[in-house]
Amino acid sequence: MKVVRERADARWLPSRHRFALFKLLAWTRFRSSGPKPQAGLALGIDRDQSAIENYTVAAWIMASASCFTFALLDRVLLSAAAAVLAPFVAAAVLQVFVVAPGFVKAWRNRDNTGLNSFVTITAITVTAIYFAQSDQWVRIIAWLFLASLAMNAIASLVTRLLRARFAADEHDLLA
Amino acid sequence: MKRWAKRFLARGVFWRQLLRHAVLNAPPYTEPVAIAMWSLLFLLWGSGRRGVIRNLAAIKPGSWMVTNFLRTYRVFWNYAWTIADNVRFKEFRTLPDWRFVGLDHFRALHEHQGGAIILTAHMGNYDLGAHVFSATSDRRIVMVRAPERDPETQEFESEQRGRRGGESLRVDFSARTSDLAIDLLHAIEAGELVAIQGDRVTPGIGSIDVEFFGKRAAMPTGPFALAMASRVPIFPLFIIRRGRRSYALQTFAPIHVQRRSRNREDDLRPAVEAWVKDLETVLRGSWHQWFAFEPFYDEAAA
Repeated sequence: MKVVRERADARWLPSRHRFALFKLLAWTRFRSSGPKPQAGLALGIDRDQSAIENYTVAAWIMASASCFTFALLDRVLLSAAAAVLAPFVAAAVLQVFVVAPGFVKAWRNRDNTGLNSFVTITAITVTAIYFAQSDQWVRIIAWLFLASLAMNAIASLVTRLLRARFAADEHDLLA
Repeated sequence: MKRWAKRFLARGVFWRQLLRHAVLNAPPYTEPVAIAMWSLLFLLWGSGRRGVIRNLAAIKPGSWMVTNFLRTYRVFWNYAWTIADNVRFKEFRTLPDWRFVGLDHFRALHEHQGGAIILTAHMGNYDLGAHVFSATSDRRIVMVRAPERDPETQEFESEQRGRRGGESLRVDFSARTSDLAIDLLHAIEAGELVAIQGDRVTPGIGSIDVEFFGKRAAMPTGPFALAMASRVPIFPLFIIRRGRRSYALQTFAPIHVQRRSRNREDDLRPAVEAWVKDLETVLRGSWHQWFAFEPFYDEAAA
């Protein structure tokens, strides 16, 4: 694993982020901040290293999934009970997506995070498409989720164009 | 209790296997939710929860019980992140970010010729810290740790360590006290670094009573006796989790143990007290990182 030493601005390297939208935001910050030497600092280069990105995406996915779960539970339960249960059920369902593929014997001892990420995002997207067509308030959440996906897709086209510059910035810091 | 049921106890092997399974399968952005939920579930672990609450009552005197209960959740939350980071390092070699505090002392440790003792506590990610140190140095580290209480868990951990362990890091268990002291002495004489946790006394290990957060507590004398016998310095070093995938490695000034009198305990005491002072300094600021699930003092004796 690559490590950048004694440079605090390396935390904004795009390669420390997973999603294209965050890569772009981080790179903008990196270009505007300038070099920031800091003794005794070692920053790892890994696409899941950014805490801001991780917590933001986790909160966004959890909030969207909780709203969708509430909309489903509200059909069969009292609204107050559905509101209390929704975050717990949503969290449990998200973990089922994660845990289930690991029970396939051939996949047991390997890194399945990429596959599970695809399954999780696809499942929430399908749910968002379903609720986007409804006339309930939850359609706003669904559209917001789909809009964030679309924005990330556009950002990913831009990051493809900037790939060489990202690599050059990283190379400069590692040198 | 039946053997299969023991797997599901707090220290049982099931949770270690589940954690490894989660690290191999959970996309990183699902981790905060999963860890928040599992930390909440582990608050049901009565003896662990009560142990942490009692330790916090000493570290933060005058706190309300409910405040310490919420603080205990924070300890469990940090512990869950820490052990997940450790498994991730073992499986994928993913390193967190590091900030070195007390850089001069850390450099002194790096540049120290010959053997030395690294004294650490059950804080932050001591496992990962030892791996990182061994990866950044050409020195060999012998890490001494207490064995797992559950035999199946111990077997699982040994298997994982054997599968991923490197040549530069060896793990020994403090259960075999008789030959371990001699092994460690040989390791130090060979110029290796010995990392020991000095904040908990396990049965059969020599100890000395000291004042720790205003309570009478037993501290292990083993590391200090080893330093005295081998005439090497002790470097207090703490690995503190600062946030997601971010750790601080805090090193303090070395402690020297010298034979000055005929009374061994009198010679060891100043060094143990110096260690306790460093430990208190770190714990005051990072109480949420101290993974001591048993009370460090006897209520009746305190």
